[in-house]
Amino acid sequence: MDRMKGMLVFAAFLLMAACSPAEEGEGTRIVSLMPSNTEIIAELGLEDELVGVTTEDDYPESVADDGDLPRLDTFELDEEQLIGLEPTHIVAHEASAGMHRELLDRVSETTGAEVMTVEEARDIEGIYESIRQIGSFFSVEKDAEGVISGIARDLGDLKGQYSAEETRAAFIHISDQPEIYTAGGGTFMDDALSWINVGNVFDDMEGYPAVSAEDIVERNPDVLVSVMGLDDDALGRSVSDTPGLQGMAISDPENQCNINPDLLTRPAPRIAEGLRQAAECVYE
Amino acid sequence: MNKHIIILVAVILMTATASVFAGSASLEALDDDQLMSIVFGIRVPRILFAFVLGAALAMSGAVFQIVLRNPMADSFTLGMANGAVLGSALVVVLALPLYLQPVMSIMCGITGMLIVLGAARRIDAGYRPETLIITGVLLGAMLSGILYILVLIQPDKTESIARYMFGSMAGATYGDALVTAVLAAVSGGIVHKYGRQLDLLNLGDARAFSLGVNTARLRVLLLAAASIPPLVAISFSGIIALVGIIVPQMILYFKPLLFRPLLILSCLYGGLYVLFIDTIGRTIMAPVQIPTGVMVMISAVPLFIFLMQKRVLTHRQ
Repeated sequence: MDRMKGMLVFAAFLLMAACSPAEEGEGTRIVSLMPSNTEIIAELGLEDELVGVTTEDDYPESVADDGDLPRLDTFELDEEQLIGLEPTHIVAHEASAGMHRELLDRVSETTGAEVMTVEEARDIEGIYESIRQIGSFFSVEKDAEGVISGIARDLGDLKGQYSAEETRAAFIHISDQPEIYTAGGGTFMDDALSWINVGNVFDDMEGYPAVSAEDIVERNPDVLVSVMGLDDDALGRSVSDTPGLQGMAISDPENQCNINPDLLTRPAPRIAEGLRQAAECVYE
Repeated sequence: MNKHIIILVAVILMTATASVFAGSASLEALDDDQLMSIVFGIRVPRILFAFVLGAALAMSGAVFQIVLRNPMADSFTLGMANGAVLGSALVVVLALPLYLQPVMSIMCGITGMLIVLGAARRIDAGYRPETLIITGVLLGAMLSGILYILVLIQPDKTESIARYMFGSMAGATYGDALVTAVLAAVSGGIVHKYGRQLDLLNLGDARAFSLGVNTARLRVLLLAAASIPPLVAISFSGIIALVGIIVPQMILYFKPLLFRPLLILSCLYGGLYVLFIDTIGRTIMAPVQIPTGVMVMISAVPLFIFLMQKRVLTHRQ
């Protein structure tokens, strides 16, 4: 009889466990809807709790190489897929909040998940703020401060190393003609480059403006910092195929810096690494 | 007539000169190298390409309208423009050599036209102008759907969808202008040579035939000759629509003309129109550049509706 009772209790436990895996204790299940958020979450030591990332996520390697980790298309977010992941925490981003707000509200109602929207970082301080925000969301504030001081130390080193150099004016190359997009003032990349003493020729324009080739000629940048993710040859061709740029300083491959866009465009902990690469290219 | 042409050429030269000095960068503050880069590297090739593109589109439109006896025929309404950009994108997606781009554009453009002509004829034995434009625009929408899938599959290689759907003169080179100009000149020479026969074609096939015109052969030859310059130009620029309809039809609205003078005036007005509208597009909101195709659409559709309301476009010629 006791044995019977024991089995019943055991079976009941199994059933309960099957019904609500998310609510039972250890199961923090995080879905990250932005690669930069994923990088911050991983840096805070929470990568094992990730149960869903975006199709664009490729860092850290444990996330990139995990073929079983479900991936969501942020541009066409699949509500059913998201609910199926049974998240307890969803980390969204201001950039896509307008697109996702109602959907996330519904998912949150269905699954009971907490949703946090990380604000867009407009400068390096903004990255620290994002890290703090995510840290407090998961109650790992101490780890967050640790990550921040690590980044601040690396950036401080970089600043010290290059502050004596002559300021170079850069053109930030985001996309090709005919719609040449760049980063203007008040953007994260504009502020980040100032840490390595690199100016932005379009810092008088706000946000991410589309500019014409003649605006680039007029502002006559010393270097081109490309975050298009092209290879060096393709970047050279892209510049030489843009009418008007042929005679300029940036048409010289020496003055073309091809930086891994993931490092420099994501407001995430690897920014110091991206800036180090940019500085090495600009000054050496 | 000659006086008209002389005045028109003077206006074109003045517009082109003004266009050289208009732009988002102000020329006074620049050093010589920058000035040369902006004027001769960017603005002059763009002005030349805008002019020859407009001339090629208007010329081919005038020919299509007579050959098909349909005032709404043009590279856009015949499904050719969408076909051409699809061909251009296919070369990129299939990783074919880039010099094949104009060839593929011509092939896909002409295929698009044949589908539209075939379908329109089956739908409507009376072959009304509206049937053609609806068929052509629908096929164009379908082809842009296919193009969108190509862009989705290979976003890294293909250019943005906007680049294809709204033609732009940014990035125009002397090479683009030269190739288009040579093709337009050759094709213009051919259609000009057959100008008298085209006028006879306007009288109806039976009468033209009885006056010694081999109508079937003439149609194929002139359609082919008129197709190639705009298709190649579109493969460089993206879709620029409706220029081929509104330019010749506006000219005819003010004054009925025989084919040869219509051809010459269409080239000049077409070139002037695209040049003018592109200059506005790149300066009015500078440094933001409005794509040429968008400016043309915004300005051409009201004219198009005006012509429809005046019954210019809805009757067979």
